[in-house]
Amino acid sequence: MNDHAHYDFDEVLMSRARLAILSALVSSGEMEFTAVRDLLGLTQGNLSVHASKLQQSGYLFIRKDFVANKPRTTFEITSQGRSALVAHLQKLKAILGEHP
Amino acid sequence: MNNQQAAEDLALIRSILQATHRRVDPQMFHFIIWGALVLLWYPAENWFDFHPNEIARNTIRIGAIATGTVLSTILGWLSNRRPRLPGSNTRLAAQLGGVVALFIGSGVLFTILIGALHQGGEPFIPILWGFVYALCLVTFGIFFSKDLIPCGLLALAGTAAALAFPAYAGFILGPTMGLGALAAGILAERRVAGLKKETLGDSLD
Repeated sequence: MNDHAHYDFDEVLMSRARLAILSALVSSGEMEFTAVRDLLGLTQGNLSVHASKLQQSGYLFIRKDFVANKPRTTFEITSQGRSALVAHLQKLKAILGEHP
Repeated sequence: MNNQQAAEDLALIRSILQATHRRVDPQMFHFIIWGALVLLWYPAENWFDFHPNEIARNTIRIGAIATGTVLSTILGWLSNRRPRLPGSNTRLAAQLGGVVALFIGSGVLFTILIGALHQGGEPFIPILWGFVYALCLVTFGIFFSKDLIPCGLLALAGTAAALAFPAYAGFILGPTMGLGALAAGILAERRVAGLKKETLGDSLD
């Protein structure tokens, strides 16, 4: 197995959970907290931690509002997050010899 | 990062993209409502062409349109209050909804134009709607589930046959367009129910 340190991977996306969250958001644009949790099978706490990390990196926008008096949290991918995911994907493909 | 990790990450991204792409709720309960109505309404109206009774005919027509509009509006409103499919691809659903709205809007416009500009053109209105529904179903078949394409082709075949025999348009379109829409609606709703239970199930760190 080769180590590909020279590819300079984005540390934020080295976590599978964060990679999965951004991947889920990239096609739908935005999703509710519960939807991401159910889709990816993450625990509530785990999702909160990873979403915060993505928000701090500028990859995710977290919106909180109320619907029928109930709190709702929605995640939205930012253009920076989209670019980061695409760059990460290209590096993965390059390692595996796949041409984008 | 080694080759195995890269392959696993890539597989994860692809599986999620595939899952989110498929998770679309096209709200096809509207097709169940209108398909069931057309199945009864169109043949009934056609029957009154041969056994004239304007009051009964208009009652059936107005009753069917009113029932369909009320049910579609109420169920649509209830469905929009809360997403029925967690994690659904709202962008693709909105694009599909836009295309269908264009078809239905065109149907309404042409219905008005036929009535206003072509005296005696009324028998062609159900045929127009058969065409509109066939286009909607084929579009859903292409973008949502290929299982719906035969339903669209059935409605399209019915529309062509109705155009060839306009005097029997209601008898032809009732079962073809009605069953096509009804079957497509049931298939789509079953698919949405199935997707609702599906999670990726990956253990993510």
